[in-house]
Amino acid sequence: MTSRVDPYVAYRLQLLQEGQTLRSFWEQLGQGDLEARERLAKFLHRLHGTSGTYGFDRVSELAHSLREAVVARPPRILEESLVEPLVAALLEASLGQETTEPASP
Amino acid sequence: MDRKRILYVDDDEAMLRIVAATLPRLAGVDVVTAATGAHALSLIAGGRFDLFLLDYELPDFDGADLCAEIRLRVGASIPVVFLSGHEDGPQRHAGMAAGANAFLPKPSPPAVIAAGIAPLLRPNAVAEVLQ
Repeated sequence: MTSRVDPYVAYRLQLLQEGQTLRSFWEQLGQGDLEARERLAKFLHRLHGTSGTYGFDRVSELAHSLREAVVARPPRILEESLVEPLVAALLEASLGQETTEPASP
Repeated sequence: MDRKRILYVDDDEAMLRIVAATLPRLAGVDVVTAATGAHALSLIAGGRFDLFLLDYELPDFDGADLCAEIRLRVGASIPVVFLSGHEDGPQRHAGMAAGANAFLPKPSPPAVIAAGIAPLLRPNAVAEVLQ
C-alpha cells in the first residue's frame, strides 16, 4: 500500500536516514563483523538503484562504485576516505542540493 | 477504453512510491503495488492485469521463480518485465528463461521504464514478440 505523500519529499527524508545507516554499516565492517560486508553490499545495491530512479545520479554512482570496492577488497584495506564522498552526497541530496527530478509528478 | 492495469512488485517502498506516482502519467496505466511475491500472487488471483513489472530480489521469492509461478497462473499472453539492478548477471538469463518478456535495468528514470513497457502493452504485443 502506498501513501499520497510526494515520493520525492519522502525519499529526501529517507536519504538522510540512509547516511546514518551507511555510517553504521561502515563501523560494523571496521569492527570485523563478517556479515557486515554482505549487508553493506546489499544496502549499496539498493541505494544505487533507487536513488538513480529518483534522479539522484551522484548518490547512485557513488553507491555503485563503493559497492564494487566493498565487494572487491578485504575490509581491512577499506579506508575511511572511500565512504566520505557518499556520506556527503547523501546529505546534499537530502537537503535539496543535488537532484534532477526528471519525472516529478 | 479501459486503462491498462499493471502490477508492480518490489520490496523497496520508495520504488513502489515513485513508480506508482509516475507511470499513470508517463505510461497511461493504473499501477497496483505489492511488496512480496505472496502478496502479488494473491492480487493476481483476485483481478486481471495487463502487465507484471517485477523486481528480481524479493524477500520471499527469487524473481525467476515468481515469474514462472505467474506464467503458470496467467499463461503466456500477459507480459512480464523485470526491473532489476541485476541486468548484467545470471539473473537476466534465469528471468528470461522463466518466461519474462523484457529485462529493464535499475536504475532507470521513470520515463525510460514507461518507454520500456509501452510496446508490450499494445494489443497482441506478446504474440507478436513470440512469432
